[in-house]
Amino acid sequence: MKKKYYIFGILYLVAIVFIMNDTWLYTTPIAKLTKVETTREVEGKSTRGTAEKKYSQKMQGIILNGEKKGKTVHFSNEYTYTEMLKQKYHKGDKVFVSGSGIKGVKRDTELVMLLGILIFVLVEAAGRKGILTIITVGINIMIFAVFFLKADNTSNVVAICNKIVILFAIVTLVGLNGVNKKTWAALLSTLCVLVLIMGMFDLVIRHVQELDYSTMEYLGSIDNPDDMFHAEILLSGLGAIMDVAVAIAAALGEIVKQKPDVTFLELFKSGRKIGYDIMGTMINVLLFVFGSGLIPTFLIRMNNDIRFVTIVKLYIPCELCRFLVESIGIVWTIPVSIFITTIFMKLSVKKRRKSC
Amino acid sequence: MLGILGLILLFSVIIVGGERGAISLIALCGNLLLLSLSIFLMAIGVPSLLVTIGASGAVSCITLFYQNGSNIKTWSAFVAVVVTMSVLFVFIYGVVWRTEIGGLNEIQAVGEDVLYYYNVNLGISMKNVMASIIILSTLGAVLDMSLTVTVSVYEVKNHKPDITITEMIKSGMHIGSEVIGTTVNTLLFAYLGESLLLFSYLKMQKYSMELLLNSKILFQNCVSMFFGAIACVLVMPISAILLAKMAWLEELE
Repeated sequence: MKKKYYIFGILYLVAIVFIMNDTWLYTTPIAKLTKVETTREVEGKSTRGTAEKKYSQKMQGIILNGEKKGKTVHFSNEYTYTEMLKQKYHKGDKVFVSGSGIKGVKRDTELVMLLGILIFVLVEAAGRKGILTIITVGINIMIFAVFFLKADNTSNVVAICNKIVILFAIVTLVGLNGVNKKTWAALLSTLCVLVLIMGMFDLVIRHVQELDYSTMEYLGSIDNPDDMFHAEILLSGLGAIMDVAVAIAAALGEIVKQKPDVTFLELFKSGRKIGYDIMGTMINVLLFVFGSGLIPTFLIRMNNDIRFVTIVKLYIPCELCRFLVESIGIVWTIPVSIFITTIFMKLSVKKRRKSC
Repeated sequence: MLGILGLILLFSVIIVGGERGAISLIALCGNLLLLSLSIFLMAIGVPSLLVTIGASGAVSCITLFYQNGSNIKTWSAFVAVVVTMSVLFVFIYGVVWRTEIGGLNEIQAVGEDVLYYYNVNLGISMKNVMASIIILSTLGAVLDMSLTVTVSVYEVKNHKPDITITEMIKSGMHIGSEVIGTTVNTLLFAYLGESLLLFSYLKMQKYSMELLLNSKILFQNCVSMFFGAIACVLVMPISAILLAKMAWLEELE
C-alpha cells in the first residue's frame, strides 16, 4: 500500500521536473525572466472615476532554447491595476518571445501540477472507479483531439460532432459502468434525448425569428456559426444528460433485481422520484458553469454604461439559448430513460422466465 | 426564441417534476437572481471576493435549506462545503496569482469593441474576479456532491443504528465514488462544449500546438474544471465525517 504512494510521488516529481526543463521541445524561443523592475506611473482614472494605478516594468531575460540560447534579452511592459488586457510579469516567469515582445507565458508546469493533484485525489478517494474515470476522460480528450486536428475549414462541423458525441457517449458509459444492460439502456436514452432536443431546437428556430449568431463570443471569421452552435449544444449538455440517464438506469435496475415482478407503473413512479432530485441539482451545476463564465463580459460592459438588461438582450442570447436547451434536455431525460430502462429490464425478465 | 424555450422548460419541469419540480425551479430562479446581483455588485466596485463569499453563502442556503429543509443532513453538507471551499480558496488564489490568468483571454482581448470602444481600466482587480469565477463555477457541483453523501450516509445510519464513525465515513466515500466519475465527466463536457468554438478559432488563426497548450484560454477552462473535480472529491470525506459527528452529538442530547 505504502509503495504505491512512493511510486506515484516519484513519478509526479519526475514529470514536473521534466516539464520545467522541456524548453528544448519547443520551436518558439522561450526566455526566463531574471530581473524584473516595476515602477509606478502617474495614476489614471478608472471608468467609475476612482484612481487607477498604472505600472511599468523593465525586464531582463535569458533565452533558454533554439539558436540564440544563452543570449540576454530585454522587454518592457505596462499594465494597470485592473490587468484586463495586459498582465504583470513575475521574476522567474518563462515567456514566449516573438521579435522584441512577449507572446505569452509558459503555463504547462502549473497545468501538469494541478493535473497530478487531481489524479491523486481521484484515485485515492474513488479507487478503481477513479482510475476508470481518468482513463475514460483521457480517451475522450484523445477522440476530441484527433477529430479536431483532422478537421479543416471545409469539413462539416455538425457531421463530425455527431460522430464525436456518439463516441463520447459509448466510451464514457461503457468505461464507467462496464458492459451490461444498464449501460445500453442509458446509452440509448442519452442518444434519444439528444435527437429530441436537437429536433425541438430546430423546430423552434424555424418558426420563430432567427437567432442572431453574430453575438456569439469568439466568432471572428467562422463562416458557419449555426453549425458551430449546434455542435456546442450537443457537446456541453452531453455530460449532464448521461449523468441523469445512468442514475435512473442504475436505480431502476436495482429495483428490478430486488423485485422482479414489479409493475410498469411502480417502476415509473420510483424513477420519477429519483429523477426530480437529480434534475434540480444538474441544472444548477450547468447554471453556475455558464453564469460565472459570463462575469467578465458583464463587468466590462456595465462599466462602460451599458445597462444589464441591454447586455442580456444583445450580447448573450446565444449562451442563454444554449443553457435553456440543455436544461430542457436534462428534464426530458427523466421520462425517456425511465421508459427505455423499464422496457429493457422488463423484456429481459420475461426472457429469463421463458427459458426457465 | 428565448421566451419560447423558457416556456418549454417551465412546462417540462412542472409536468415531469410536479411539486418538487416547481420548488427546484424557484430555487433555480433564486440562484440566477443571486448571480445577477453579485455581477451587479462587482460592477459597481464592491470587492469581488467579498461578493463571492456572500453569494456562495446565500446560494448554499437556497440549495440546501430551501430545497431540502433544515436538518442535520443539510447542516453538515453546508459546513462541509464551507470548509472545503475555504481550504481550496487559498490554492485557487495562489494558482491565479502565479499564472496571472485574470483578465480577458487571447481571443476576447482582440475583440474590436474591447480594443477600440471600451475603457478597460475598471478599477476592479481581474485577478480577484478570476478567483471568484472559479469558486462560483465549482459551487453547484460541490453542493450536489456533499448533499448526495450526507443524505445517503444518513439513510445508512437509519438502517443500522449501531454503525461506527469509521464505517460511516467509509460508506460515505463509497457512495461518493459511485457518483464522482459522472460528475467529473459532466464538468468536462460542459467546458469542452464552451471551448469548441474557441479551439476552431485558434486553429484558423494558425495558433501552433505549443502556444495552444500554454494559452490563457486553455488554462482558464482547465483550472475551473480541475478545481471543480478536486473540490468534489475533497468534500466527500468531509461531509461524511461531519454527518457522523453531528449524528453522534444529536444522540448524546
